[in-house]
Amino acid sequence: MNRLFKLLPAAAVLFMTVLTTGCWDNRDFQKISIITALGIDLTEDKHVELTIQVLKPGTMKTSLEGGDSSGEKAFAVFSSKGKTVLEAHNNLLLTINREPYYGHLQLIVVGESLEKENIMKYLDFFERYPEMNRQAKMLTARGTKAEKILEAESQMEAIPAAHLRQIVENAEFTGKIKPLSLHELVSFMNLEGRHPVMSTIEFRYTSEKPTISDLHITGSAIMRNDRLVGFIDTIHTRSLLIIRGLAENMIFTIPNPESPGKMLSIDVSDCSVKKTVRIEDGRPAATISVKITGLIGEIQDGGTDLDVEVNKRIEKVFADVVEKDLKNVIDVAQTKLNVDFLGMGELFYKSMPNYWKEVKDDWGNIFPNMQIDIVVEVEIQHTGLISDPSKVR
Amino acid sequence: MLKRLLYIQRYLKHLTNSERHYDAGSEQKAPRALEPIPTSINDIENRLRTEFDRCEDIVLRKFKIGGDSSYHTLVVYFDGLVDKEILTSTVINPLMIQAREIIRDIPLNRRSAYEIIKESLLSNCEVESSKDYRFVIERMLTGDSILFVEGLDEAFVTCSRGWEARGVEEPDTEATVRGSREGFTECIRNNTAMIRRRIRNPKLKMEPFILGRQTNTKIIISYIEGIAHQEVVEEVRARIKRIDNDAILESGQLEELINDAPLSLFPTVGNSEKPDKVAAKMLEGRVAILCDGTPFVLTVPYLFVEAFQASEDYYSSSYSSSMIRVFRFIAFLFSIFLPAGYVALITFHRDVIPFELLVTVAAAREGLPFSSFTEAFIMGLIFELLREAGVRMPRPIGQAVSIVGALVLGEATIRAGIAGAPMIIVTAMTAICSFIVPPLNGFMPIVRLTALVCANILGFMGIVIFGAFGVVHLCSLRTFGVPYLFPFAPLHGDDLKDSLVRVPIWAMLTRPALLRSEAKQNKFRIKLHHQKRDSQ
Repeated sequence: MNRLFKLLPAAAVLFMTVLTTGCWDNRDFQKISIITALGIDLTEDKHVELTIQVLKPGTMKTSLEGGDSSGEKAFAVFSSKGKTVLEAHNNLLLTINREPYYGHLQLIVVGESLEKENIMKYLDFFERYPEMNRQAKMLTARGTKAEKILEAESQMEAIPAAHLRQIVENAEFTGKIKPLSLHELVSFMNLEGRHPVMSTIEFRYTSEKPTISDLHITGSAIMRNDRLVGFIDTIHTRSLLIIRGLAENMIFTIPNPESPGKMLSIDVSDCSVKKTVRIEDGRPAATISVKITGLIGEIQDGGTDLDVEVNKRIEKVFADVVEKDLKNVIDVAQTKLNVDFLGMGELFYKSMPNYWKEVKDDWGNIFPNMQIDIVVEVEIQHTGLISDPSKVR
Repeated sequence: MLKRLLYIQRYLKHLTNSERHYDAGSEQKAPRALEPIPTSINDIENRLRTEFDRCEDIVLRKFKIGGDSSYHTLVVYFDGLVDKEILTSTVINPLMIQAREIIRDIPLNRRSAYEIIKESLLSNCEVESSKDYRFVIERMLTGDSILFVEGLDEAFVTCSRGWEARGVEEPDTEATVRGSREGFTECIRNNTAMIRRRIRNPKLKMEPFILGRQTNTKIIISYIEGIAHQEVVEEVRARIKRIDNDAILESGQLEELINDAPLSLFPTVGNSEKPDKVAAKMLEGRVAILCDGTPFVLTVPYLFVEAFQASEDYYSSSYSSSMIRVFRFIAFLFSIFLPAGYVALITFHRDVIPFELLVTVAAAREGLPFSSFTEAFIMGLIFELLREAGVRMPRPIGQAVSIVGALVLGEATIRAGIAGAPMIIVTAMTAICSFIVPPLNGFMPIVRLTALVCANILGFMGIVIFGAFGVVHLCSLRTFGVPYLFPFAPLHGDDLKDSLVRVPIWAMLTRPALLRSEAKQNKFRIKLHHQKRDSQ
């Protein structure tokens, strides 16, 4: 008995570790439905409409075994409504037989209707729910319900959500959208002096049966804090990414200075940005110096002879284009939308915290009048496999 | 259940205590009184006939030395234990035929007869004489033949052992690609010879013991003086002396009786069928225990790492053997934790499975009637049954068993929707891995199942708790005074040379530290003293 008492503390420690490790459960695959994508919309009576794209493993099985699976989709879409997201989630169980499992959620599509509200109101559930994939990519459905996006089939993959997610991740090479995960979005909200930007996806009917080729990535949704204020296109998004220092690989198509009317594409291999802020005559000002290195990816005119002089002229045109792009997006931010989605406030917050404290509340009035200088430096390092274009004689 | 376990524990405690008393008592015990041999041949014959009544295989051969009727002699032996040709040519023939000339020249009297017979007549290479009746009977039971002479109170023990025995074959349990293919046999004499042939050294000691009240089995402990630690040898001696039971038929029984941790799943006594392996272990300072009637020779102390060492490791390049060692460790972990890990992964920690794999696994599990735990349990059970069936069956049937196992159970269970393909892969992988470390094979299913249950209750958390308990248990084990997990715990840098990796032979400059007898290794001595203090 004595020995048993001695063992008691050890047993207690063990027992506590079991109890305090939090949520645990033992569920088999047969008992859960794997949710690949999730959409949230607001109905007219301000109820949350949750749409899920569920994997149907049974159809995957037949396709794995080489059986005929052409007729059946590998996924199903269900919706449910509720006053809160959790309620809608719970109501899902009235339609689907298995418990939804969000651990491998690929996408969260937010309907435009919802974004016009305070989006954080609805994201709380996603933060709170223990089995949520915080790496799920966020997309805004522009001009349509999220539900419609989830219904689109993929011509390449059995699971459309996987296809869409890969498209979003391809942004690394296109530089036209900023992939934003649930975790990133929430941490954006927590940062001062910045406003989140979400990629948007549009739906344009071209056929009866919607497919992913009917979906278009059209740029970004701009939010003031957590409320949608407007949209920008992919060119502006690219400029935005350059300013934020998030762009690396992208394509710039500029007019060929050697032969008017012909185009020339620059493949950007490296892009770095340096931002400084200062107070000028009591007004905030910033300098954005961008340094872009690229190579000539394509020249449309065969007559162009590349030499150092020509290269310099191309660089000049390129720098002008970049500068114009950047100015445009700053203009959109300052005058059109009046939202500091460029992150200028954050710069002050970080380098001049005292100043930031003073102007924080009035930033919406100060930002539009802020002077932002742009310095662009470009370098074309090489010309691909060939130098001069092949000539037709 | 717990009550019963506690009872057994108390019993064991009592047993070790009483053994200590017994040990102390046996040393003070007076030597057995000598039992004189009757001088009359007829008396002897009568006595033997009553003692070996209904012993069909005893042979008593009475004749006269050189035809002289005053010298009756009696040769006694067991049929089947004796090489009759040797007996005839070295005992019977000289005494019956050649003795005639000698007797003609020198008239015999009682005293000289003894010397003449021993020195001039018996042409056997091993002749002993004894006045102890019990002693000669014991010798007869081992296969010697005994010669009684009328009027002498002494008997001659001549070595004429010879019986049908299995030849030296390649052991099935430890097949090798490279290295000696000799294996021990059931005959202890052959086995000592095989060791002696490998270590030609007067320091190679062989100490005999007779164990088993009924069987009188011969046990030999063998070690190299100066290499083996004296205290380990003493400990082995003491533990063997403590044994007092009816029968020792196989070294496995001996193993259980001299084990440090009788209740542990892990073996703390090693065994091998290969003379080269045993010789190598003795050269590292271990003590070998040979047992008559079995080709399995025990070696102590037995460390955990030895399960991962194969004799071939030392005969092939150090790179390849080091690599294979690492694989063996991985295989060991797999064979214990693979089903548990799989179940934990798919029922608790789906989040860490890559999405594509998750889809595949989910598809494979679709429509299965059982939970993954039940499935893993059933598949594990089927595998154990198959293995057992394959082992016990004659070889051709064993193949049929494996075909049934592979085709019917593997393929058909998937088609029938009883188990998913990933589970078959996991089970097969576990099976393959468990074959890689044969010394630990015996307890593996138990550990595997326990891990599986833990995983089913708590996921990886359960596996970690289970693993922690396992490691603590391993750390607590001692084998003849040596920590079981040596050289990992306590960590000994020098001895890691032959653990997870096997460094080249030229870099192995020192003998294993905990086993060697040099004075500077104080650490080990302290440990053994400690052990001794405990047991006394």
